[in-house]
Amino acid sequence: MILCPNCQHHEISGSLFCSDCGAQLVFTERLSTQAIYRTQSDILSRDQKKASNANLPNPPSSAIDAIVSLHVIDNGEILPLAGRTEFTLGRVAEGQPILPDVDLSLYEAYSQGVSRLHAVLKIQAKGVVIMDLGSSNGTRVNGQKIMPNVDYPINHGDVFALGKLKIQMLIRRSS
Amino acid sequence: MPSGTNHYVKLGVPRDATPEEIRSAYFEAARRMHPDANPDPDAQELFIQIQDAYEVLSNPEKRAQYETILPPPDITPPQISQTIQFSRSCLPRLMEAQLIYVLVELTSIPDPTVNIAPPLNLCLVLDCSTSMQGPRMDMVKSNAIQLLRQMKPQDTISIVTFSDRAEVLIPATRVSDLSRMEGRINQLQTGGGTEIYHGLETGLAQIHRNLSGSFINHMIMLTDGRTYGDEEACLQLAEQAASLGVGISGLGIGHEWNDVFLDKLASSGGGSSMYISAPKELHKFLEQKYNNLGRVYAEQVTLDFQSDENVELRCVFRLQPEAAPLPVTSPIRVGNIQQFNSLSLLMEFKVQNITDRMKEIHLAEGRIKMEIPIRTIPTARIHLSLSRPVVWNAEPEPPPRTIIQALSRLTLYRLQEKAREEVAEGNIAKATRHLHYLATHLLSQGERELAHTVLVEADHIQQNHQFSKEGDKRIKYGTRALMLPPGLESKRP
Repeated sequence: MILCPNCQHHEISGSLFCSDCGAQLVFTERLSTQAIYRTQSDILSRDQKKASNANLPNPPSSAIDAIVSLHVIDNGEILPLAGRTEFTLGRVAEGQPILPDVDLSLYEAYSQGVSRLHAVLKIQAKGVVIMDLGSSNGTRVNGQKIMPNVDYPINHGDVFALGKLKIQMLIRRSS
Repeated sequence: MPSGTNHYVKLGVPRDATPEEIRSAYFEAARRMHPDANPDPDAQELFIQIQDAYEVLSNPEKRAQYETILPPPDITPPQISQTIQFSRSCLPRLMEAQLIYVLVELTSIPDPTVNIAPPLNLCLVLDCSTSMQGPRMDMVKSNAIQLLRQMKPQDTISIVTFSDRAEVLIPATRVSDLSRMEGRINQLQTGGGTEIYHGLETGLAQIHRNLSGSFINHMIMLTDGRTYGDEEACLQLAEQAASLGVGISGLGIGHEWNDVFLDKLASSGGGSSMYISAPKELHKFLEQKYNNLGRVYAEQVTLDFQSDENVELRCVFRLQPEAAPLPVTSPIRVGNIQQFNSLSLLMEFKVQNITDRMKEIHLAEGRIKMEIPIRTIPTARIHLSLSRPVVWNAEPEPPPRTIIQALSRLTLYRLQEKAREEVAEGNIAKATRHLHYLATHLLSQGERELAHTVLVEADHIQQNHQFSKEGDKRIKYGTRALMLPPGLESKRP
């Protein structure tokens, strides 16, 4: 018997796909998240407040009706986020049952060490927070590694890194 | 005895025919040539020859003796290359059920004995019920005429129309007087109900007039409605047609027709059904069908095999040409092999407990039979052997990419079948869940349009507890078309 990791459905031994949710149960090539060289900043930041960037002028205090976008630093592209209050970030790979809302595979996410479901951005009344989803290479906010599965506030102008892929947070109050 | 004529040729069986094949060939020929049934004066002479041939070949001793006076068999094997891939190289010794997948690919390679395509013996069976009125009928007329214009001089065609009853619009003939034929087609009227059986029966009779092993005998049935009460009879007729070597393709227009029935009807002879969502698509499908038939190298390809006791064939799917599920029986009629093209089949076997004594599991052992219409003796065969050794501890190994790819598509098709069953059972929550899974996978494979259709359908089901009028067919034939190997996507509906 095989247990589908996605939906816990029981499958006969030798099955290649889950008959209930369609998830692939075997992998043709072992394409796991690429490990990257660890740096000093891998030590987890216990102090959440240190993480925020105080130098930028007047970040909007309320983000309820803010316009949130991501600035991919490597190529300067801006990705506007709209339509919901939570966005998962990651990259799309073959045979993946759950897809991220924001697919970063266009920005060499794989070689930069981005996991398939790497982190989630939540737009809340108090502001925007980021949570690492237990990614292989971790998430850093302004250079400090954050704990997985814990919300960290993130402000306008902050730079976070998924693996090595650096993204700047842009928050603008809608007029 | 003139060269090339011998008892085998008279009965139309290959030199290595089994006693069973000789017997059935004899009965078939005797029925046709019997003086009571056949008034032709030559028939009596032929009838006697057939009996002579059977007398020798049915007796093992006489047959062996006869073999010694015959020149050595001039058997040109069918020019088919066989590629077989398994999802695993060996089977682990497990005291529980396990699955193994096999991808069988039969590819036609240049055959020195065959250089032209066989002629067609085609019958169009057209639904002329009231619902066909208007643009549908206009489209059918213009396409039938286009088809006539394409036919080669050696092809024969007949056109049968049906509603409550069937009529022969154009009796089986070569295309000679095109303008008169076109005139007849243009006079087609609609009216009445849909009774498919009458249409099929009349169509088969027309094909029968020119029935020959050196033709591609095929019936194309076009309908837009459900047939009531005569489905069983239709399926029996399809079975009869298949045993005569007549293939059936079903084209369904609109949303009223019964796709499950049409699939069954067509697949009993190795054919397939297709869904035409808009009248203007008809042209594409007919053209494709005509081209496919015109390029046939081997037809009536049949898998005849036996499996070990603990092996069960759970599913066979033809991936190419014309992706379609096939009935799980032995023998399985799997369709045609086109010149320089492949026929690929994905098979799923379930193997029960493997005991200590078993060293090798025979998934399927037997023969692949086929008819090569252009040869003097059309019947040909190749060996089929699907076996895997048993080991104590199997190392995990990645299955071949081609199997993974084919199966990922098949899994999607099955998800939609599952959802359909669940809707029929009234299990709406499960059905919508499966459709959502399906949509997610479609999106990840870049099939945005189909994914969108599936999501809209899931919403519809949640609200109305049934599929929208064309939703189920759109999803079924959409996911089915995904199974065509890359490069053939243009054939998608």
